[in-house]
Amino acid sequence: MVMPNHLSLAKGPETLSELDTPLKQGDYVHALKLLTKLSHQHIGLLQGAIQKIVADESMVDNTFKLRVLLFQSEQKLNEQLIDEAASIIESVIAQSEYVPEKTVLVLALLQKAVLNLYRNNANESIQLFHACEQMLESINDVEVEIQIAIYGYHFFSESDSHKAAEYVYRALDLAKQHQLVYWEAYSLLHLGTLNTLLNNNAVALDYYAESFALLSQLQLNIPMADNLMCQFNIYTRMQDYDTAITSLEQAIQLGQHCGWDHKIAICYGNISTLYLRQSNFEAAKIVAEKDIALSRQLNNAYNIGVAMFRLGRIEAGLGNIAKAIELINESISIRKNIISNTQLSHVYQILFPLYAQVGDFKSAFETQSNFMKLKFEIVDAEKTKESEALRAKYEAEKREAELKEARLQHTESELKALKAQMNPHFIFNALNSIQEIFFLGDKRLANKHLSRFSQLMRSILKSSGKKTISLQEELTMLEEYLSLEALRFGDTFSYSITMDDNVDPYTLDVPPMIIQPFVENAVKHGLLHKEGEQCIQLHVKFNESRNIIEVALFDNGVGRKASAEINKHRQSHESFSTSATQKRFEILNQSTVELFSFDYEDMEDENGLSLGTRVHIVLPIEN
Amino acid sequence: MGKEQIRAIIVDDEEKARNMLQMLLDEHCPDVNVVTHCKNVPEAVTAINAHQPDIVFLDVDMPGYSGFQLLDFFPEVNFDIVFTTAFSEYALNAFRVSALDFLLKPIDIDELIQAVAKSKQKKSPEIYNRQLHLIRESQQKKAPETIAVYTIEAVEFIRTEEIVLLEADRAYTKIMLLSGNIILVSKNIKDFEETLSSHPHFFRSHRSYIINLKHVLRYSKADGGAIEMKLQKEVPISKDAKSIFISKMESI
Repeated sequence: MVMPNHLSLAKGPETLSELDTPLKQGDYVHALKLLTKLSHQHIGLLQGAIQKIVADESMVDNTFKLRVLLFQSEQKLNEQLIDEAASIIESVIAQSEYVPEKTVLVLALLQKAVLNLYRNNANESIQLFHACEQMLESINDVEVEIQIAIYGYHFFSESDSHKAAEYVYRALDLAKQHQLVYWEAYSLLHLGTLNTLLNNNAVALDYYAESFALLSQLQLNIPMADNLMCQFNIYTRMQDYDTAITSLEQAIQLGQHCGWDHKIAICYGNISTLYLRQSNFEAAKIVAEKDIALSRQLNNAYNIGVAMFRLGRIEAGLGNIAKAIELINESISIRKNIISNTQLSHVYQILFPLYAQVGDFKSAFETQSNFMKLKFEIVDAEKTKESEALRAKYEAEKREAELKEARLQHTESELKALKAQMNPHFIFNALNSIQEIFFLGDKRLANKHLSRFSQLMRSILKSSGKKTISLQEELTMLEEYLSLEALRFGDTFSYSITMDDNVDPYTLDVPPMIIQPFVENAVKHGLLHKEGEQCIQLHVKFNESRNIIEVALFDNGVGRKASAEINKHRQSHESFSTSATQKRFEILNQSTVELFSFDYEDMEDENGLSLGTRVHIVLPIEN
Repeated sequence: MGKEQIRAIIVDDEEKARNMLQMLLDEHCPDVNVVTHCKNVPEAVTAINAHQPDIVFLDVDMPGYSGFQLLDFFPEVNFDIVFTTAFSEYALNAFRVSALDFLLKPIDIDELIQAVAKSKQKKSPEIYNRQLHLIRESQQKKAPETIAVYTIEAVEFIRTEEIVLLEADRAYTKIMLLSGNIILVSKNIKDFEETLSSHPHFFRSHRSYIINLKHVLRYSKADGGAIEMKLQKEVPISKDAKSIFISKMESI
């Protein structure tokens, strides 16, 4: 089927006749150039030319024929006819084994890589890509190198914009160096799409304009039309709907009568959607009908379905609910088996309120249940995908962890075990204190302390796997702990936590629960048996020249001597938290320059009576 | 009478938790009228469509569908969600990234009263939906692309790749952007370290700094080491961070 050429820009027919001479003379390099140009100007004619060449049995150069087939598969990819493209690509790969020149194989593998991206096989895709990169050295072809770089952009565009940008810039540099204007325009276009992804609207538009100018110099109407479709996206995002529509109308004009019709249908669809979005239903309807007519002509069931769904929404907007329901149902049946669950759920979501509007509550209910059912399937599928990703991440992290030094691992697990030993002490002491409030019957107060207690538990759980936490977190834990103890002791108990001005608790890190055992000891052994006022004072200093935190903890309790006397009948009671702490300090000291240390100071008056206990704790910090 | 009633739905898989919350609301938030309880997400979707509530108290950790998955059913959320959670690190991270509030269980009465008061204040549906969108994203992507932060004036959405570095300022953090703008946020640097812990480009180079490795210009070994960042900003590097820094720079 040969189409008439109305647009002065489309130079297709002349190029086609130009093709005869090089073909006859066997100048295939030139012929390929002309075919490339044709693919940018008139796809209909290109397809005619491809068929003629493939069918011509007098042509003996197999390499050239394979290259020509790749034009065909590329077109199929552009039209999203993935399976058809796949079978052509596979046959080219199979045949290219017998061809000594490797360019055709690389290009075929690269197309296969792109195809795998469409099919979401990222792993296989990237492997093919690396294979292409390796083979590149042996063929030394700049245009292939540029195409590989552009693929790299596609692969990374959504996951790693910096890497994607590196690839586009490589393509752009190569194109400029070798004065390949088309590829320069193509690279600029992708800088535009990259910036679109990054939400840099103005920058993207600049790149598109630069690319467009080069393309119009070359008079390549099809890439120009593609370029305008990219611009439409930006204008839509900027909510400049008028310019968005104008871009699409220009694209349609450039792409008319040259085999670009499947994209024209998409343009109509988008224009219609833009009108719909502005509630301009009359205008939307005219364009939507054009879309349907063209999609019917192209016999593209999927597009017909999408267009009908859109028309249904437009009719609903015009108040023709019955008509809308009819169209939307038809849009489902026409896309049977090819509509994705996500799209179908969207259709149902629009459909069920329409049924309700016309009073057909039975259908409304059914449609809504269908919508819900689908939605759950979708969410389930996503969840499976997520959990797979999580598992992969978990395994990767596990492997990483295994690579860590054995000694360090040993030390840390030992530390963890010690902390786990300390926590139950802490937990049950706090629980003890809180139990009493339940019996006071003050619900509000009970709630307050329960919240405090759960907050404390959360902090402990959170910190237990960590090497360090901020001093702020440690002090908050102590504050929570002490506030619960204050409850137990009643009005005679007071505590204070203070620090010097140069201590920034948010940036200084300490091992978790490093001060807590000392506070716990002070309460248990110092204050528990003390008559009268009980007080705890904790003061933090930061010695910047030595890079150490100095904690001074004072309690006015009975003193260590008296406490030992009181506890002497209880076997090995006191030893627990002190020995655990001692052990922990020793382990910590294996990995620092300054030493973790603590020493007790028993304070007595001249008569040898206890005034309390002071403990000095030194905590080195990481720089 | 006269006082506007707030219509609420409670979603939690545990009956005791639902009843407890209802009791707390009845006693301490009398203007909240709980219209129904739901024990899972499917029930909640139906109930929300039927009742059009003002607030949904939504437990995050439920078997089957997590509370976050409720969001999948409402492209535009036109009610307030008060998330509740007992202890789940992944949920906390979603709240950090989106700067949304949540209630920890067991529920503190004052925090509950505050949350209800807050939901009565007028807020921008666009901003709220964007924050909810960040929650959805945080469930799908490992590294956050955008984070929401509260500044003095408003909620700001920051693309993580625009961040050059974060600098501690006591309980506050200064975020320096590629544009040269500096945003002051009332969250401490440790919070940000956690928010960005899953992001491969961010690194705590020093107790006062988190840097974006993508915006490192050079590293000089002189004077104990310093990293030169874009925007002519030089940051110190701590002794222990050096080897990690170098291996991280090699891997990105």
